[in-house]
Amino acid sequence: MKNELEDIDGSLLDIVDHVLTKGVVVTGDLMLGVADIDLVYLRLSAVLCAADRIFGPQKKKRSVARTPAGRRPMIAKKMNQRRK
Amino acid sequence: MTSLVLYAIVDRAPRGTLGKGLSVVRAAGTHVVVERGTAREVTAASVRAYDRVVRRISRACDAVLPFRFGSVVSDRSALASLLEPIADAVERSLALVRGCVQYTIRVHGRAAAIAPSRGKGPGTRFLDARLAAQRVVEIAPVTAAVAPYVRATRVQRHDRPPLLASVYHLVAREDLRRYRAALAKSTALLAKSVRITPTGPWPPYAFAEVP
Repeated sequence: MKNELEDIDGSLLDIVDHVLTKGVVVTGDLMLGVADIDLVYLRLSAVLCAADRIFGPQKKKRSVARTPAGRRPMIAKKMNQRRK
Repeated sequence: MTSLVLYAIVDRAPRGTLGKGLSVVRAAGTHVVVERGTAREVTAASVRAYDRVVRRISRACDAVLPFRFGSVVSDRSALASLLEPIADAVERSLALVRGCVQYTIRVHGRAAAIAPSRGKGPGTRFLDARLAAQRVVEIAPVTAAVAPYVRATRVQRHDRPPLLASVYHLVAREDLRRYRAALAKSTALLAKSVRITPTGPWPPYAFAEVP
């Protein structure tokens, strides 16, 4: 088989972009203690990557918000009527 | 603590030696290229080194699924328990990338104006939007020209001019020469407001996602 993969002309930026496209796994150790006494040991393993690689592309916001917050003025209006 | 640094899942034991420190372990019915050691820091040198290793593996194996950079496990049993639940998906992904390399096309320029889908219901509009996100109409002549040589495509629209999109093509190794020729020929057909930057061949980084 011919070694096509040898003749790459990618820059460092290209390489970083391709290698880290799925994100990066960061590991670490954390020790919690009080007065020099170690109490809790945590071994962390986290994935750092663009949110859209995990959650998918963000949905566009609706132009007209139909949230409960939009009805507040009506409630306020009724309360004002009661006060009167 | 010494762990196993994970480089790639491969379909079978590689031809020849992969290099100092690298070994192949069997886990969940597949082969995994590993190195004894601790997780690497994210530096330019370590990313380059990782890419060199994955390239070496890709030259020695037909099907390669690179791991996420920095992936480590404590031992072989941890690796097996990581892969066992996704063994079927790994097999499907290996079948997809077998004998293929990746070409990446960055698309720069001015985005093409797409007519809004008026007079249609919300469902159709939603599906139209989903379809538009998977298409790069700006490079339609290139897409049509290379289509016979592309086994799979992944599109990522950026829409942050001048960078419009990244298009990843999975190309069979035996079609690579024809793919390049078609790519070079069709570039001349692009609109003047659009420019593409193809790079490759790469190991199939963009196709190494296991659902």
